[in-house]
Amino acid sequence: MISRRSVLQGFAAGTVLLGISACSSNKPGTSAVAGEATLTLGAGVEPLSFDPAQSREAQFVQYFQPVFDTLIRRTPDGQPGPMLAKSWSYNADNTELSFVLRDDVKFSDGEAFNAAAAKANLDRFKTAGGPLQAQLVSLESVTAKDATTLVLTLSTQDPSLIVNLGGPSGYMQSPKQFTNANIKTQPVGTGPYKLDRSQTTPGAQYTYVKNENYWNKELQQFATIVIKPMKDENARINALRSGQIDGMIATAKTISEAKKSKVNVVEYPGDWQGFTFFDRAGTLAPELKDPRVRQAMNYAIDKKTILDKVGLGLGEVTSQIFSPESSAYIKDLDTAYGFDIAKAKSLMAEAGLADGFTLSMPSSSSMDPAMAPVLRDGLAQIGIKVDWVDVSAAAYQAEQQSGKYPAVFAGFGQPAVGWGAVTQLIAPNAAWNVLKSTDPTIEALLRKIRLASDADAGTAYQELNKYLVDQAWFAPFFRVTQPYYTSSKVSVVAQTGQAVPSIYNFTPAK
Amino acid sequence: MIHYVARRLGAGVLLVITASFVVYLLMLVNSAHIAQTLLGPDATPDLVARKSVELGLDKPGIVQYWNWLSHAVRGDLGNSWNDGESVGFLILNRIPVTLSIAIGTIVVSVAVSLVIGMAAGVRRGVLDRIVQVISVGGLVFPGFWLALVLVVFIAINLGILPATGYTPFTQDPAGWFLSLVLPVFSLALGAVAGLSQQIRSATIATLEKDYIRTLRSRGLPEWLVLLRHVLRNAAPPTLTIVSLNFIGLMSGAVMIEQIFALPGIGSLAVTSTTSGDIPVVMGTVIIAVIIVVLVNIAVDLVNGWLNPKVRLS
Amino acid sequence: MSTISLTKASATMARRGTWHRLLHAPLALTALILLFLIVLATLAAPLLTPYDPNVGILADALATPGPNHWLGADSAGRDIFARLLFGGRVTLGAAALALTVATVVGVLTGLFAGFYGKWFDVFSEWTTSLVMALPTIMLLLAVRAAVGNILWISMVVLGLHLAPGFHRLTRTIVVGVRHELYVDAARVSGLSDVRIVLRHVLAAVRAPIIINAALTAVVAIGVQSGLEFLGLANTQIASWGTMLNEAMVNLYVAPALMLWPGIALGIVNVALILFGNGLRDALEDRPAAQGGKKRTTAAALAAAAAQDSEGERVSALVPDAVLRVEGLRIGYPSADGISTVVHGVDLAVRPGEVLGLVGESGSGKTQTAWSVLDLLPREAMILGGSITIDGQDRAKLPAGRRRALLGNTLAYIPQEPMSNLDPSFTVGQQLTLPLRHTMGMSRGEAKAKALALLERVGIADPERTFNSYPHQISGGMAQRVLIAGAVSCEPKVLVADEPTTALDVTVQAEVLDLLRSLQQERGMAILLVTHNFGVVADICDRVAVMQHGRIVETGDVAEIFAAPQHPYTRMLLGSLLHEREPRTRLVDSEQPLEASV
Repeated sequence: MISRRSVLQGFAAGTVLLGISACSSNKPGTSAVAGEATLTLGAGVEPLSFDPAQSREAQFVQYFQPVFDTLIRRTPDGQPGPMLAKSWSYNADNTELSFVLRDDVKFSDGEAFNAAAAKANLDRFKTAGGPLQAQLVSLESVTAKDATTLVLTLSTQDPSLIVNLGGPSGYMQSPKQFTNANIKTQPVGTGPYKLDRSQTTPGAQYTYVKNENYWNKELQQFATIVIKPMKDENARINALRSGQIDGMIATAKTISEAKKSKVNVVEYPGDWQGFTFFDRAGTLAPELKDPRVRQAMNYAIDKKTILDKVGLGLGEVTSQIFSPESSAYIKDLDTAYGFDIAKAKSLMAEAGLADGFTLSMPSSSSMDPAMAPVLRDGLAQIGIKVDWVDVSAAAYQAEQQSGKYPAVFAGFGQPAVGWGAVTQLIAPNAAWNVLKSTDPTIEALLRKIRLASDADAGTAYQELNKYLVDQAWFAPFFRVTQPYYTSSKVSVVAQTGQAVPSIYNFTPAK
Repeated sequence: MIHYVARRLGAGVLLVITASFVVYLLMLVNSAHIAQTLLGPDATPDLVARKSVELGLDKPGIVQYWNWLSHAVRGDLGNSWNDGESVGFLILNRIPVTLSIAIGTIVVSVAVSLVIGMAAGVRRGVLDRIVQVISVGGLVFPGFWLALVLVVFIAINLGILPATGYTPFTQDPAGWFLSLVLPVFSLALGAVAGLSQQIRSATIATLEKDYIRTLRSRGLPEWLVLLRHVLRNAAPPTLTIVSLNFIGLMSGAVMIEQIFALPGIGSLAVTSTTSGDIPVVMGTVIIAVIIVVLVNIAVDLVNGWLNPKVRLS
Repeated sequence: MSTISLTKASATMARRGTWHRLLHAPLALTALILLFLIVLATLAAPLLTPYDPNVGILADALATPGPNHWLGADSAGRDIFARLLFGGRVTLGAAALALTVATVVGVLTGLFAGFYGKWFDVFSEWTTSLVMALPTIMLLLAVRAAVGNILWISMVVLGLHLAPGFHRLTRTIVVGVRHELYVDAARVSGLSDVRIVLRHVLAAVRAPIIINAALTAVVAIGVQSGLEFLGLANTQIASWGTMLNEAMVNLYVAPALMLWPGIALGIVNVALILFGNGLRDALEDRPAAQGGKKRTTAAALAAAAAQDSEGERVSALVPDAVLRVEGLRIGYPSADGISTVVHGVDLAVRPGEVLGLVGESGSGKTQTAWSVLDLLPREAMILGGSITIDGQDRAKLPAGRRRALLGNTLAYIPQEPMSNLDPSFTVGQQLTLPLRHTMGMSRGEAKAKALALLERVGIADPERTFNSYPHQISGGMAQRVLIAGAVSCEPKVLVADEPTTALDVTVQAEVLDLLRSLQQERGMAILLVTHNFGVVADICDRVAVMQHGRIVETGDVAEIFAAPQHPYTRMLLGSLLHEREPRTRLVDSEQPLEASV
């Protein structure tokens, strides 16, 4: 569950924009000499709490990575690489994970980083009630065998644990700070930079200065990193074009403008978007219990035209939720449900719903404004009347997960490890399996995947994928290509499976 | 006068308490989403329930309000539920931005409106028609519409002024000034439209007073009559309009803040209200009401100074 | 804005017929018609476009204007023209709802508070402050968070939030009107409160309320569209603000999307403002004539001109005059051309002489006096004749020199003492400013001279009066102050326009005594305008009798009293014997409506 909410649907014309504080002494990218320059990024979100236990994935990682090193580092291709942990290994049945930690790292408050500190962090994350606490749900206990040996004992196998430890659950904060009242606003880690509160205006500008005692100078490509939350994409591209920022997350809506204005454009796989059916048991909308109805909805949407017209062609049509990077991916499933109104109508007729039914789903200004009418028009062709219940952008996600709706239109990241999608969307306790639907086939497949070795898991994943597509648990439309822009002063490498490139992926342009 | 101000401040305190109570209750009517919104999409229901208890959202509304109020009267506005920043600190950070924009807009619009409004009121005729056209023209396009055009053409294509952002005065006075030019221009145009009409009307009304004829009959030059007597008597109604404009700008410039990515009170108000960050909502509400109370007292004092009848009675 | 002026304006307005006026204000009428057409177009939307505003043809997404989509299509392929028309229903309907709530609540509470006052007034004033203090956008968002995304609730709340403007306006007017004579009279005559309210008070508040409503509609549309633009309102309802929101998302894909809803909002805003301005102008620009003007057709005007232009009579008779008026004609613009109020007046005043200009109100005597001072109202036109002051033909002087004649050559004593002192400045400030500017005195010299003048005009405690504001002194004192001001720069000719009319009888005599003694002491000439032959008898050397803008008889006071030739003179002298003419102010201080918030 690396990238989170759709970026395309997350266009935030509606939410309010928090500004930036242009700081003349901090002209972005004024120097191209490595380690001297300032990197200024425009972000689509505000960091919220700096307490790692309360942190989130997706765009939020850029605020945390400068300060907090993780146990492992996600390399740009999405694979785990060493960071605070030099190496790691599983026991035979994948229930015990041992790390060998670095012994030369200190927190910026002077405390030493060691296995005890790592244990303290993991224990805290697991119980602090943060939004991602469930990431460590399989973690039974943590043992600091000696200063550099950390052993994680799992209650059950967890194929995405390693990748997760390259994100929020792996952020290492100085344990001395746990009781500090300022923990939410003044982060203290071992990272390449330190948050400089004196040059920080909450909600407007966050300034990170180089940590002079950092253990890996290679990760300090800039003297200063400035991140400015700018929720409106137009404000971001205006700032980028006028040289006020060096990097920004974008959508297809600005890509032609960006290409016109000498901006570097990096593209990488973003979210998949489509309907997520919650009410597969038919408690709210009995019609949705019938797989034929869900299949009909898959056929009824003209995915290609919507992608071309609304998504401006930036992405590829699909019918499956798994990333092409993952072992669950089956190329043929991309075309499992083509646009076929006749087929859709006959499926509806077979289900005894030739006259259709009414389906209520939440909408908000954080959706692309064209999406709601286009989907309503599409489903109207097979008699399904969509009743969009408009809610505020801020309450949108909570409303989607409220359990009041049988289905939602949403976008989700595509983790390189298929288990990410399972724990996010499919498992009975997944946050986005809102009405807890499951069936014996799925439970059996999930058990099989958990117990399988990496090599064998592939077939089980593919079986699961086929079953989900066949049963139409979802109605995915397309995988969106995610653009990221940088100024000519900065180069960046995309980070597979993450909404934005990691901080480490930025370098001053040659 | 001290007695008067004290009485008004006392009434103001009552106003702040009532306003905060009304808003607090409104925020609580549908507070079920708050914990889920704060925790984000991956939080499980039990975490959401735990968060609600942690925030005290399970207690009766009146108890929650009392808890807030009893801290607030001691100067403790609490911490944001969103990012843990102290509410006082957040507001102090944003007040300069909003005040810069609001005061800048008022200064510019009053200066321009005085010149063209008085000119139109005195000369009438062709000049008056021109002012009418300008002032109506200023309202043709919504301010945010104009702001977008300004950003694209002036800031980006011509590269003259900063496209977005705010530079604190303490950091760089020139940069502060430049960062305000476009936002203030976008806001001032509409303000000038209304205000110049007001000043024109007040000027015409004052010029028709008997005492103006008498003052002229004393041989005073026309400019002196205008600057001293007409301006002074046209000021009170104008001041009322200006104060209403100012109050409106304190939270009403949200759209301009969005387009120019300015971290002002308006955007803080909207973010906190939509996300259910009650401590910040309450902080911005009481700041807004306090500003209204202070502005109204200031206007009354200035009006008293301008109008001796009010002052002495 | 003063309550009184607003009250008078609106009361007068009501009497003259708001709608009648409106129909004669082309700008306001055009704006009203435009608004009407726009509303009509939105109501007739299904007849004007075949498209459903909410259903798109995806293949047409972002289509440019053409025969299929007149204004193009939006990013979901919906017809923009259809969305503009149907969206107008929402935008205008929502504003109308907010406006209705604001007007009904504001006006009713304002009427009640203004009419009955007491505890309700206190309570409503406090509630008003509370409502006005709450930040609009936060309030709407909090309400939305509480009750959900329901447009009509938002608009009702917005209406309540805008009601204080109407409340205060109505209350102010009603408090003013309540004290007006006609309401008192109505009460005495036994009308019920309701009927008083309906007949008189509502009539008085109508026009200002309409103007305020036009401006409030602009605010309501702005707030609602702004919220929609920010994505803070229901995005599933077609409205102009929602269209702008969609345009903002596609700013760099299809910038033209911004244009149409922007233009629609612009046209409505401009129409509303022009309507408000037009109505306000109709209030301000009252028909030009003051007092008893007489409407004349162009033919009559030409005839009058021919008849008047004989001229050259006075100069021959009075060669040594310090002030000479010859063939003076004054007119005002009116609906049917120009109405002439002074038809060729000839006057001459010798140095040291007091000339009485006598006539009933409306005879044109005040107009004559003002034209002598070059202080006619701006609409007035001098149609002919000349005015010579101290040997200088004023028409030949440059503008700056004309003003310089005032103060130390010509001075003026007005009729109404209180309205002729600037309420914002002390007596001292008003006396010393001319001394410093016209006489070039220092601050200290001017003060010494002003104190001496105050003492000279018979004020007991000059220092105290010097530091007083006009409202702190009595009418008689104010008139003495004005006399002191008039003589302060030692003029050669004093124009006194009914200097005693507004005063009590006892004070009248004292003021006349003062004038006479000053005149004798300084050897000034005085042109004394009055309707009262008693005053003439008291102070004048010669008298000119004026009727319907003409001098009907001139002569020494003794001769005229002894043997009046003209029937009008005889009538005036007759009325002196039984009763005074009811006091009528020539200048109705009808003031424009100033502030409409």
